[in-house]
Amino acid sequence: MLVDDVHVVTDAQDTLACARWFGRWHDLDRGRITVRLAPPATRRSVARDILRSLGKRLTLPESPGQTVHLWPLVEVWLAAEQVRHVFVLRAHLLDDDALERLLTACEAARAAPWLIVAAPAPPAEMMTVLDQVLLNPWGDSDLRSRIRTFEQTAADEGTPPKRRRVEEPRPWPLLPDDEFWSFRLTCDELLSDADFDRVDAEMLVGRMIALEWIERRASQQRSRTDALVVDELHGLLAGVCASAATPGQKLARLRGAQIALFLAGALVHIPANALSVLATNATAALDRRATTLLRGFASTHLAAAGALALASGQPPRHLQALNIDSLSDDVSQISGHGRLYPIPFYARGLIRAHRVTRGHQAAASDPLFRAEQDPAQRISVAALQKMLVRVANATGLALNADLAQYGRGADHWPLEDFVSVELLETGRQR
Amino acid sequence: MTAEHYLGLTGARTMPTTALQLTQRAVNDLVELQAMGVVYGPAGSGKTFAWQTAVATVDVPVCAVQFPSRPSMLRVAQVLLGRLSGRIPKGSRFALSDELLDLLSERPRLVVVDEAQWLNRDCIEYVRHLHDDPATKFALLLVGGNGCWEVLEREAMLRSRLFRRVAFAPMSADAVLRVIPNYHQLYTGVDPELLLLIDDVFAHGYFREWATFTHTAQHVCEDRDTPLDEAITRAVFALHDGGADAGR
Repeated sequence: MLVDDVHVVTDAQDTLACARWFGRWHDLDRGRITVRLAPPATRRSVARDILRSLGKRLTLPESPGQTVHLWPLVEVWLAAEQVRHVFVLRAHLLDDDALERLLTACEAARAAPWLIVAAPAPPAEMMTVLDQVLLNPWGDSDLRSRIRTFEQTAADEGTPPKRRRVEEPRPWPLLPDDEFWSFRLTCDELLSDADFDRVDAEMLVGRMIALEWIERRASQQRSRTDALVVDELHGLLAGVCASAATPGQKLARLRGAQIALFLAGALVHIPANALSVLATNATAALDRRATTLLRGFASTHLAAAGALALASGQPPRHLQALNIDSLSDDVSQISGHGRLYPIPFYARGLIRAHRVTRGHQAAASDPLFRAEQDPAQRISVAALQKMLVRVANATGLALNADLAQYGRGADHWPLEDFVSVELLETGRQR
Repeated sequence: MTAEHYLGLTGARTMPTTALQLTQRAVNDLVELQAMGVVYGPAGSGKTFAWQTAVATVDVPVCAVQFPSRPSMLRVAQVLLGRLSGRIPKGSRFALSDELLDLLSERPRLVVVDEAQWLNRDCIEYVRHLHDDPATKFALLLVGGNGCWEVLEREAMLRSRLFRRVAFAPMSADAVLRVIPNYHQLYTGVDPELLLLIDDVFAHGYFREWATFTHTAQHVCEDRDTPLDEAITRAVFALHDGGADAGR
């Protein structure tokens, strides 16, 4: 690790203001975490503290009776969540061993460590370790000259962004029956500002998912309209719905997706009464709440299995057939059973972490989930089902762990009979 | 939690001393802002009664703990978790800490640590760690006797975080004359010189000593069926200080 990649900040008065200021930079979606070290900050406790700041709940019964090696997990999750800055509060508590391991993990994940020490100057032991570990190819960029006080840092870095409001489980507003061309305008007229903002945010999510899909097709140099296959569109729309929690959220997302698709040359009709059909979907959605719950797992296979089950709504027999290369490079979607399922941006780290883990196992196009007893083998449907039940029990999420709960089979998208698609350039209609 | 007078003294009134009112205000503020504060002063000056009176009016659950002298961080975690969860905690400090952080994040609470001067630096750091975590929602009141403030003041991590600080001290002679006649009906109409005698010889401005004296004097007065006078006062001195010549 280069000397320039490490930041050392002093807080002589050990203030709450400093802790709060760095705390406000914590935002996993933007690749920043703030780690609060529990005393006495040993190698093992620091790994736990980092995992906790990554949203892991190590009290979950993940691997009963097994010793979990925490630092490899730290490295996997830092990389998977694409963390770029690790703010370590009370870094003066780190012992030499823990500091070295922290720097190694940050380097492996290409994250910049920020060591915030509650003292007028960093401890001599810390500087010794840094001198030994950091590379200083330029010679003139001395780490000591780059130590900043909290006040200097705050002035240099500016105001931390306001923390996003935590989603509150408020009832979803009653939505108008309008089709997509007037839906947003009517919502703006009818709904309170707060409710409109929620609807607008979901529309944006739907629109973004559709745009990503359209752009991906364009990058494959296929015609924007001719190649819009109706079946694939159904797959996209099913995916748009899969990660939303309530029928209202699903409809708002669909309206957003319809806008993007219309601009790309596909007129999609979705009647508002389809909401009643959406309401019968019994599984949970891969929304932010579910993502947070799944992020609680330190084990990557549990988090990924839960996320994929929710993103696709598919049963174990379909998830079991997934391979590593079923995932797109950027983990924005997964293909399976003839459909593409988008993965919301906030949940991609969950799946990326498992791909990183499988990558470490030298698996390129192998099964995404492997058998626990025989790592060379694909996981069995029964084992995957058991795994999903474990995830469901630990998180309280309703996962599609059993095909029998769906009368028509889990691969049937409930809206398929209600949606009509018209490709504008060809005039084909279904 | 209801405040009880020392020795379960009956008939004693709650005196709205400045320190008691400041404690009430401090506790309310701490609960509202989930902040950290300290109440300190010598033993017997009324701290415990004050914080117990104050917390009786707050609308969040109160978890009051007291640790043995110089506890380990594991012990702090065990005691806190045991009190919060109502079961005997098992596991490593790491596992207990995770559980503690989860429990302390569930709902707003007030945690009172009595005899906070017995915490060593590691434990203070640990308690601060729990409180600093952005997920936790508890106000923290540290209460301590002799040397408490000196211990806490040494730790910058606490000094900069204490939002309210209330210092208790023994009552002055003026305060005794103002407060004690209303403290208990035993002292209604009693000669101020006699009150000063009791304070000089026995109570020294400490509420706890006044409660002790009152408890005994009340029984002696009932036995003799007379109001408090110097003879009874000296009899109480004798009972407590070991002989008929005590306090002469």
